[in-house]
Order: sequence, then structure tokens, then C-alpha cells
Amino acid sequence: MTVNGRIVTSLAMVMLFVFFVVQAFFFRHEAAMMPLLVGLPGFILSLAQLIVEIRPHGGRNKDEPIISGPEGTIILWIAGFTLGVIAFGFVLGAPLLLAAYLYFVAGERLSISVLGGGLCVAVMLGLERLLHIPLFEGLVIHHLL
Amino acid sequence: MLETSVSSLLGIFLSPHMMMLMTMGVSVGLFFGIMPGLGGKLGVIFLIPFVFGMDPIPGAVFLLAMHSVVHTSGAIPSILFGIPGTGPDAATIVDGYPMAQKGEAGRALGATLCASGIGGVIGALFLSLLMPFVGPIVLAFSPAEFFLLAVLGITFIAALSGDSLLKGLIVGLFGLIIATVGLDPNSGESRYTYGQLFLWDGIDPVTAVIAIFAIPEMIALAARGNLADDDDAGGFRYTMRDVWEGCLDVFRHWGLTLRTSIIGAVIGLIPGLGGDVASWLCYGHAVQSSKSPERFGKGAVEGVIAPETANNSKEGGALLPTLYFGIPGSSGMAILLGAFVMLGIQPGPRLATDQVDLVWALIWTLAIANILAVLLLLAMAPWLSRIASLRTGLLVPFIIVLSLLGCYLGAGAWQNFVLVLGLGALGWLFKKYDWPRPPFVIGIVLGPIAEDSFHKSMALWGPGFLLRPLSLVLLSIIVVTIALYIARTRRKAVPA
Amino acid sequence: MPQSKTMSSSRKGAHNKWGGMTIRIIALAGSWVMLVLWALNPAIAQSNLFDGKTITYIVATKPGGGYDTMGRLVARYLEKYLPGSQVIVKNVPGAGHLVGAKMIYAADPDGLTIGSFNTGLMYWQLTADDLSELDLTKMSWIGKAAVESRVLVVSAKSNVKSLEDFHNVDHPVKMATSGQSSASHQETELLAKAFNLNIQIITGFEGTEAELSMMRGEVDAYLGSASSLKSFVDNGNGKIILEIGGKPGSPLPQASALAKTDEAKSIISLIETQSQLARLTAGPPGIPQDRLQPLRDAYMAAFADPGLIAEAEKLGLPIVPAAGDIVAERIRADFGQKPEILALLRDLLKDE
Repeated sequence: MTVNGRIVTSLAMVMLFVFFVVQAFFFRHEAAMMPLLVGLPGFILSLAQLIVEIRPHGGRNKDEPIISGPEGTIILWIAGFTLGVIAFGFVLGAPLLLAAYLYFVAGERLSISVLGGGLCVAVMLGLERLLHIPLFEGLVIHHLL
Repeated sequence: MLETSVSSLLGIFLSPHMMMLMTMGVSVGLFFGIMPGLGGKLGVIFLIPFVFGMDPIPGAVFLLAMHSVVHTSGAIPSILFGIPGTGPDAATIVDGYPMAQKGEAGRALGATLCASGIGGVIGALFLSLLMPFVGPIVLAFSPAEFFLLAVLGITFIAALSGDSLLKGLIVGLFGLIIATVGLDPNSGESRYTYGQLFLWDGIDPVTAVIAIFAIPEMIALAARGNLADDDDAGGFRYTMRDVWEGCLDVFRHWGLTLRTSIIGAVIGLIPGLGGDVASWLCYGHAVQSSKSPERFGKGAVEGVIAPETANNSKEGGALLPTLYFGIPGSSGMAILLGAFVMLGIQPGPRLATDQVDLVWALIWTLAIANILAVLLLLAMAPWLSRIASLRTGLLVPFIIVLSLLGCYLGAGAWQNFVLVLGLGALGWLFKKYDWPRPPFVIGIVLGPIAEDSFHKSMALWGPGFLLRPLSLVLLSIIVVTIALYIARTRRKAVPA
Repeated sequence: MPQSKTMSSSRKGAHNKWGGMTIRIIALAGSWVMLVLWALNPAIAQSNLFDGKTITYIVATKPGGGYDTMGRLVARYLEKYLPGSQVIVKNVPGAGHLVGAKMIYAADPDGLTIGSFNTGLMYWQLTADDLSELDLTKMSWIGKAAVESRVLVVSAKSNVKSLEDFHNVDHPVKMATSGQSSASHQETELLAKAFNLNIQIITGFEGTEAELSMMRGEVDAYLGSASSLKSFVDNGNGKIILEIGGKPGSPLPQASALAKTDEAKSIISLIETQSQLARLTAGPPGIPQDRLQPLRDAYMAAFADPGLIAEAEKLGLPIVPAAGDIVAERIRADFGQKPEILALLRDLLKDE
């Protein structure tokens, strides 16, 4: 997807501010004060920035892919890790994904990948058992138990 | 007085038991600091069962030794990985991480260690000198002054915007509006929560910082090089000589070091401001007071020194209202206070006169613990270098897991992970297209303070609150700051 | 040294910076750690119901602070009186104890999830439209730990020195409270209605901020728990002019004695229930009696334990324990009041 990333970013900011400002109109007076005080200038300024980006810059505004190859991989993996932890928690999900990343993406040997996963498990268990800090167990696990 | 102070110092130094407690406390503190998300509060809670039954002075020394060094090691993941070890260490990421990327990791580490150590010692000094004057100082800061301090901090957004003022302002305003998410205590209105209970207390700043800073850096790191290539991690390798260089930097910039230590201690002194305020305000000050502010954000060592001195000196400041009033200077102090009470220490004005030995023991603990922490970490520095020089591919998944862990420990709700994805995506866009990110943190940290104190000030005094003496002083500082900023930008624009 | 920069190069051992030896040491250490952790796990055994089980004690606040301290104390001693069990504390802060309370309410009623939250949620329940996620009358009550009477404190710097002065001064008396929907705010409003006080409420004072504000002379008065304001008063910064829910024989003027109208009496009674049922421990609705009773027994045993009593005293947490059945009764009584009283209270609380 080739699109101008700068315009996308400015547009995102404009839309965010529109959202916040519009919602603020439904708040009570005192509650709406700060969001409006901050949101309205934010909206105006981001609109200004958007206009700056849209205007032709003499060669600087080349349309380019927002996400390049290697970036795409890591972004997907970060999303994957996040979803994995949400689903399977820190003690199970994180180590598994960690090992998977090490093996498939970083190209480490299987033994190292498994070791990495093991280290992760050890740290997580250490936090839970020794420091008594309960860690998130993951939604899927929670429903299974 | 002098007698007690010296005898108390010797009491600690010459007692193997005390020094052992001190060392153990420091080690625990360093561990809790370096693990993102753990931090001082959890450390105290973890240690409380161990101190139960101890005598007051050893117990207090043990706990304080732990608590005061948390921010010393907290800067390490900030510099090496771009993940804050504790909330206030986030400011160190802005210049510390770029320094590491430029191959100056050792220098950054040396600077942060020495800065932390010196900051801590100055904080202890501050504590000892100001003990008699605590009452009036703490009471001088009302909501009116809080509001103006917050506004002053917010004006730093401009200074931290680097090359693009417009983008910086937008990001800062965005931070401010994100800070309004949650249940507004002044009106009872739920703002932007849409029935999600986890948002009622607002968006957790630790999560926001990790999402906006660490995630984009990880994307850049992983996308940049060949994950399997050993050479690629070379930038993070360092020698002890680099580390010494960093230490010397702290002395080279002695003026800044001194100023930020004092500012940090003062902010720690005022209950309700919090650690993030200290480090970001001092970071902003470093930018403002520098002759070449454009270096910041790209690896300026002052950007590491300023927040780190403040982080540690604020502990000394925070002890003042805690001991003198029984009013904790920060949330970490609140837990520490509870533990002190459990040990049989009764905070109050009489502490300074009735239990001078205890007070001096605490002062010395602050100083010694900080120095000990620096020595320990310097000794461990070569090992840290080994870890930092691992292949990118090995490091990346661990950093991701640590980030997620840090977010969870900070906020305690899994729904935060969704926020992490959203804010992370935004942060990545910001990084990619040169939108400055520090203003966001300023917004999210100072926004609630500004709004809350504004409401209180108006309720207490009406608009006249601006005319109080201290308020006028702060107002003039704000005006001068803005004027200086404008003057500086004009000067840069003139050579056409 | 030539480096081939392809992916496959790392699979060879030759360029491995860490070397086989280091890896092996880490592997050994890692597996050893895991073994140790596994061994530390309490051994699964036979008889006792909670033997070998892990009970999660949810504290509805962040670490630190009264609820957390008490919760951790309770957790430790519960473990002692439920042999073989492990009780871990989990902090679930948010929304003024609502998140934690709801989490307890939603847990499985097997006795393995219990926790503590602010009794002030009773005010929330009075005005709540939707009780599907939390209904205090239905929870399985295990016990309560303390009595937290409320005291109305006036600042030493204020020219308001007594309850009568509230009516004598020509301007509204400034009172500090926490957030708008907090128990402190609700109670202050209720008190004002009960005694017809002309006050101006300033919200947003969390924790000890109210005390600081009184010391600065900004606000005149504050309604808070007796234990948390004790040192403030002892240090001469303020004076208690009224107590709600005090012990019999308390030297302070009692609100219950001063309440004249029926309305005032209902209000004071409600606040008194609050103060009587401080530091609750509860579980989700529907815990079977064969699990609930051991929990209640263990709870009462824990509070009779001299070790706990000593620790609580050191921490400055006065304890007046009562078992779950008493708590359940009191709560049912309050919510089972005549509908007109409940409607009145609801209106008062909703009235902004």
C-alpha cells in the first residue's frame, strides 16, 4: 500500500482531536472544560499540520509504502505477542512466542530458542512464586480452568 | 548535633550488621529498579515481612537503602533497550537510548550512574539542611502553586519540540487530552471511558510511555538490521573507559548537576507532585538552559544527567514531609511510611528533636546507599555490556516480553494491552515521520495536576488565586521562560 | 574475519559469540531454577479442603495504604489457619474499589477467590441502576476486621470551632472531600443534609491532601476516618467536633445523639453501618456453606491469633472483628429498610 505516511499521521491526529472534541460536548460543563480547552487548539493545529503536508513540497512528498518489509514482520510479531499474552498469559503465552520468534525470525538454533523460552518461564515463575506477584494468566486459560 | 551525626555515621559504617543490611537493601533495590514495572513500591512490600521484628533503626535503614536506589538501576533498561525501568526513568530514554544507538552506551551508563549517585547524596544533604524548615516550605505550596508549576512544565513542551514546534504542540496537546480520560474527580463525569472500568482511573502513564517510546524503537531496531548478525549489535558494546567518560561528564556539567539535584529535591519535598514531574521538569530545564538545545533527543549527555540526578535527589526531599508530618511525599513514601510506623517510628515534628539519631541514620543511609549502588553497578558494568552486545535477534523478543510485563505490572489490567497496540502504532508513526514524542509524556503527567489544581484554586479563591505572592513569582518565571524561548528562536532564524 | 551476512550463518556454531560453554551454563542454571521453583510448590495432600489450593485474595486498591496492608495481614494469617493452603494477594485497583469488588463478585464461588474493598460501595449500590455485576446483599461474607468511626475535624486555623459555628458564620463552611463519587464525598453531603449545614464542598483531595489543606488554612473542615486523622489531631492541627459510629463511652459528641429528625436518624444510621463494617472480606455470591464456614472460622481464628493482634497494633490498625454472618445480617438490614427511607437516601445521594 503506497500512501503518503506523513499525511496519514497528520490525518490521524486531526481525526483523534475531532473525536475528543465532539465527545466533550456531551459532558457536563466542568468536565468539558479541559478537553475543550486542549482539544480545540489541538484540532486547529493538527489541521494546520495536515495542510502543510498536503501542499506540494517540491519533491519531498513522495508517496512511499508506509510499512516496509522488515517493519511489517516485526509489527506483526509485536501484535502477535500482545494477542498471545492476552490469550495465554505470561507464564505460557510469552515463553512460547519468545521461543517461536527466536527460532523462526531470528534464525537461532532450536536449542537456543527453547532455552530462551525456558529462561522466560523461569523469570515469570520467579515473579509469581518468589515475589508473590500474580501475573496475568490469559483469557483462554482463564476460561478453560 | 554534629556529635549525633558523626556517631550515627560511625554507627552504620563500623557495624558489619548494618553494612550488610545496607548492601542487601541496595541489591534488592537495584533488582527492583532494573526490571521494568517492578519499582520501589513493590520492593518495599516485598521486604516488609523481612523487617517485621527488627529494631527501628536497622529496619528503616534496610528499607530506605532499598527504596533510594531504585532509580539508579532503572535507567539501565531505558538506555539499553528504551524501556523505562520505573516511571521517572522514562525521561532518560529520550537522550539515553539515542546515545546507545550512537555507540555511546557506556558513556550514557557512566553518566547516569554518577548522576544518580551525586543526586542521591545531594538529596541527603538537602534533607539534613532543611529538616528544621520543612513545615513552612511544604505548607507554602497550595493548589494555586501546583497549577502554575504544572503550567510551567507544560510550557516546556515547546522547548522539547525540537525542530518542529507545530508538531510538538500537537503531540503535547494530545498528551493533555489523553490525560482527561477517566473518571473526573471534580464533576463525577466519566470521560471517554465507554463503560470500560479499566479506564476509570485514566490511561496508565507507564503503559503510555512504553507504548509510545519502547515499541517504536523496537520496530526500528528489528527492522533495521539483520537479526542474525553479530556485528549488528556492535553499537551497544562499550568499554569501561566509555563509562568513566560518562562519569566525568557529570562533573563537567557540574552546574546542571547541582541545579537539577536541587530542583528534584524540592519537587520531592512537595507532596502530590510525584517522581515523573521531577525528572521531566529537570529534563526540560536542561534543554532550556543549554546553549545548543537542538542536540537534545539525539543523544545529549545532559539529557541523561538532568533527569537522573532529579530521580535520586527527590527521595531526600520526599522524606521531609513523610518524617516531619507523617504525610508521604510520594506514593512510594506512603508505603515506606506504613512500614516505618510498623517498626515503631512515629512521624511528627518531634522526630527531629526526640529521635535525632534515627533521622541522621536515614540521612546517611540515603548517601551511603546511593554511593554503594553506583559502585556495585560500575562493578557489574562489564556484564551488562555483554548483555547489551547480544545479537538483536536474541534481544528483541525479550524486550517485547519485558515491555508487556512492565505495562501489566504498572496497570494490572489486561485491557491495557489493547492500548499498547493503539498507542504503539501511533508512537511508531510519530517516530517515523519526525513527530517529537516527549511532549506527550509531559501532557499525560502534568495534565491531571493542572486540571485538578485549577479547579481547587478556583473553588478556594476564585480567579484571584493568581495574585497570591508565590503565584506571582511562578507566573513571572513562566513569562520569562516563554520570552527566552521566543528570543532564542528569533536569534536562530535571523542568519538567513 | 569474513562474515557471511545471510540468515543461515547463525545456525552454525562457529560464529556464536557466546560459545557452547556459556550456553550450557545458562541451560543448567535455568533448569535448576525451574526445578527449585517446582519443588517449592506446596505438596499436594489429602484431607483439608483447602490443602494444596491457592486462594487469591483480591485487594481493590494499589499496593500500600490501609486496605492493602490489612489485606496482606489477613492473607498471611488465613494461610496459617487453612493448613496446606497458599493465599496470595492480588491488587486490582480502579474506579474507587469497583473494579476489585466486581472481580470478586464475578469469580467462581468455590472459595478460592475472596477479597477486600471499601464498605463505601454501599453508597454506590444505593444509587446504582444496574446491580448485575455487583450486589453487596448477595455476596458471601467472610468477615470484617475493624470499626472505623467517622470524625468531623475542623482546622486549627479555621474560625469554625464547633457544630454550632457552622450555623453562625455568614459564609458556607469549606469542606474538603475526595472525588465526586467517593464515599468521603457522599458522606459529607449526607452529613450536611442531616444537620442542615451550610457548606461548600471542594472535591479532589486524595489521601492526606485534605489534611495539608486544613493545615494551610484553605479549607475549614473534613469528614474522615478516626484512625487516619488521629495523628493530625494529636499534633494539634485540628479538633474533632463530631463523631459518627464511635465506641460506647467515647468522649466525643456522637452524631446519633444529636440527630433530631427521622431523616437525620436514617442518615446517621447508614453512616454508622459503614463505620461498623470496616475492612470487609467477602467472596462471590453462592459459595457453598461447606466452604464458606471453614473460611469464616479461619478468619475469626486469624483475628484471635496473638501474632496478628500484635502486628495490627504495630501497624496502627485497630481491630474489632466479626464473622461473616453478622456482616451479612447488617447489610441485609440496611438494604432491607423501609422503601421510603431507601428512596430518600437515594435521592439525597443522587442530588448533585
